[in-house]
Amino acid sequence: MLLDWDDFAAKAEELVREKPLHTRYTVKYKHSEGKMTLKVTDNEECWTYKTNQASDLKKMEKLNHIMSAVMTRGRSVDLDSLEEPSGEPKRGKR
Amino acid sequence: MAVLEVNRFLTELAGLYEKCKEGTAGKAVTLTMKRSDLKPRTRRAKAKAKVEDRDKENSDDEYSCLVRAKHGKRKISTVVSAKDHLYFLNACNTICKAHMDALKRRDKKKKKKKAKK
Repeated sequence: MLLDWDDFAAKAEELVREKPLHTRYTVKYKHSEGKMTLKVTDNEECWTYKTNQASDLKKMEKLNHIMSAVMTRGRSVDLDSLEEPSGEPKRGKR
Repeated sequence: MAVLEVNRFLTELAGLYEKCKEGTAGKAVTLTMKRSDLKPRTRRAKAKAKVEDRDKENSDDEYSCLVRAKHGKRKISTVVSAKDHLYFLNACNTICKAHMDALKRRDKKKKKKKAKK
């Protein structure tokens, strides 16, 4: 089911926290068409978000952060206690 | 499918995006994240697990995140633990941002319009 960003992000986080073991999150990028598709599913529900805007990359980063945090640290993870990903990489670039 | 070390995976991932730009092999690069306990499961165990899943999910065992990437026929995967998580995420985001440059930028459009005027 196709959603706009706010709905998609909310649904995605809800799903991964509810069923962490069954949820997978996919980022698909088509260079030739300049499109990006985000998908979250647990084999019962499926949410997608499609875009061709570069400004959505920042939102994707944030969602990546949430999803991977929940997936590696359990659903009770406190996102605020983790470092925000935006700060360091600029300095740390090799 | 090869399970790679985190650093190796990141290098390969960048390679996949490069190839995607060149237009060889398939069209899209797919990056998938999935939580995993990495226990081998038989069919029977799976059926059992379904019943017990709720209890399992409540326990705070150490889980790792299985990350797969695919472009054409090339498939790679890695396992990210909680320890590596922030490092991987930063690197992954940097790679994604750097390579997804076919997306439209609003700023450029505006500038072009201004320039035309």
